[in-house]
Amino acid sequence: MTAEGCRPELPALPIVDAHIHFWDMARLSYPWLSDAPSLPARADAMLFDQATNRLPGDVMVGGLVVVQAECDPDQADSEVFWILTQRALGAPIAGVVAFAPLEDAGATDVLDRYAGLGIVKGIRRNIQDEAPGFWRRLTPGVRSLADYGLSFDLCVREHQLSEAIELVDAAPDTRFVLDHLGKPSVGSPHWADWAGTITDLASRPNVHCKLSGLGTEAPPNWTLADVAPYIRHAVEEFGIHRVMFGSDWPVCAAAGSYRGWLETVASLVTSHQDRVFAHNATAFYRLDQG
Amino acid sequence: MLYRRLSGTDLDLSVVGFGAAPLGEEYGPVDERESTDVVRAALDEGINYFDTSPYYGRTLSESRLGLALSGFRDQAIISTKAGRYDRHYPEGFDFSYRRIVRSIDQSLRRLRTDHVDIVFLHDIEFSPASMILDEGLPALVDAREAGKVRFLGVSGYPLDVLIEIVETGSIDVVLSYCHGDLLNSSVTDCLVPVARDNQCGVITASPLHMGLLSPSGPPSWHPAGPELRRAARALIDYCKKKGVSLPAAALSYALGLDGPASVLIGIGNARELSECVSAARQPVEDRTMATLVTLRGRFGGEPWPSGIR
Repeated sequence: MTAEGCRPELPALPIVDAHIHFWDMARLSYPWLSDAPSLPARADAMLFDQATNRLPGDVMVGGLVVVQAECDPDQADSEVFWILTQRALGAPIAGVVAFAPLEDAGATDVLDRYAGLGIVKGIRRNIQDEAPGFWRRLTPGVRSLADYGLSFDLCVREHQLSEAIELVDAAPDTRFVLDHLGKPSVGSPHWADWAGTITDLASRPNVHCKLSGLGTEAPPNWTLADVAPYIRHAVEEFGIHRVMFGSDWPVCAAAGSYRGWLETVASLVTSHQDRVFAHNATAFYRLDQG
Repeated sequence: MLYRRLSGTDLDLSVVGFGAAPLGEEYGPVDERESTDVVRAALDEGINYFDTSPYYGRTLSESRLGLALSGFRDQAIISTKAGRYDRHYPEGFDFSYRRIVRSIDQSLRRLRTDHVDIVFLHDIEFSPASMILDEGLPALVDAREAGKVRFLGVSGYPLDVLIEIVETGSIDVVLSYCHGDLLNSSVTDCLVPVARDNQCGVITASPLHMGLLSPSGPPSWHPAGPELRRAARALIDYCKKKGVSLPAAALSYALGLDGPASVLIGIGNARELSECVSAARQPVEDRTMATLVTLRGRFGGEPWPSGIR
């Protein structure tokens, strides 16, 4: 373990954060947020700037992938456009991962429109609270994402990882990224199950993995030692070319801070930081293309 | 391309071995396409020996080498390593029995093969000898029993640490770096005789002394002391004045040393590949070589400290 109090080496180039959220409960309806009192009612460009303008050294966040935040599905379009207003207010948004009704026949219209926007780089459907087998309804839509040049964010809990593998195998041409390492319950005795399924998932070359979101899956006052085995295992299995840093801000702030998570990942991934903290996300989400 | 028998084994290695660390982007970005192309081109040039490690590019080198060699496995002799996974001690190292067993399975998956020809315990100076002998090597022996590995070895920097293991007679191959080249050729006098007595094959690596002999100079993290740097500077200046390619001379010197079957050199693109191949084809003339050896001084400077012992 890195000695307590020892400053990790931090990435020297502007960071691309592959996973943040913007929301505003006053503007759109986010049913799940009303049950999450530890999270703020608003998360926007100004608050993000406050959270990141005091990072140590010369670290700066130069690019953001903003991921949909489960507002009411009817408001999904408005969510995308509201997120884009935050770009006008100074947030360095490089891509948006949006909601789309992949199970509906009308999905093609939505995907056409998103693909035309350029800034929408991928689709996420939050499967984590869905019933077993729900993914099957999404399969044709997920498969079609390859034709639109859009990726798919897999947001599942650890017991659903085997379902995620089935979805991936049903859509071998689609680019997938696993959010939050599959949300393992950090420190639980189920480590071996999680680790084995991650190995299995990583053997699919079209799947990448975000190094994000573990703080909120860990016991309170978690330390580097608690999350280290999970991050190390993911990096070993996916390889340094298929893992990307994501903060999961503002959710991360409920179990630490932006800086805390950044330093955690940086002290566990000490080589090839250019890739993990920038280039991999840029390449996966095609952030440098229109 | 010339081939030499690796003593103690039935492997005939190309004298130029393909060091795959650059494919893991240890020295700068390499395109995935480019990495496949350069491996295939190396096969076309007759290079049949490829060395990697899960440490290089934190598994990226193995994945890319596996991708490039899929469909060509029968034309390649592959060595990988186990026990070192990151830069810093102690968290980057684990030579325990369990970890080594798991490491080999992971490497096989990334390399897309059911067996590798050699596994080296990687940088063993970062471990007590007892750990190597009681845990790491038994794990390799069991992997050999299971058909996953054909030959067992160790790698590292300080020769005395390597010699200690070679003398036990428990390994087939030893890999030494920065001790079989223009700046330091002590492998010939120190390691090769012991290896010979124990039917152990020898491979050397890094004939440019990790960049110290490259005309653009060493990377910022290079551990060499001032004496060694002075010796390198003298060689670089001389070659510049005489219009001789120092990388070519350095490689051809390393290839000429008696004992090592193959010299591993890092190759990450077509230009580096062609430099190596032409150096192997056209040895530098004796007079130039003699001058270079004189210039480097008697021993080229003290080795740097490495490891925990």
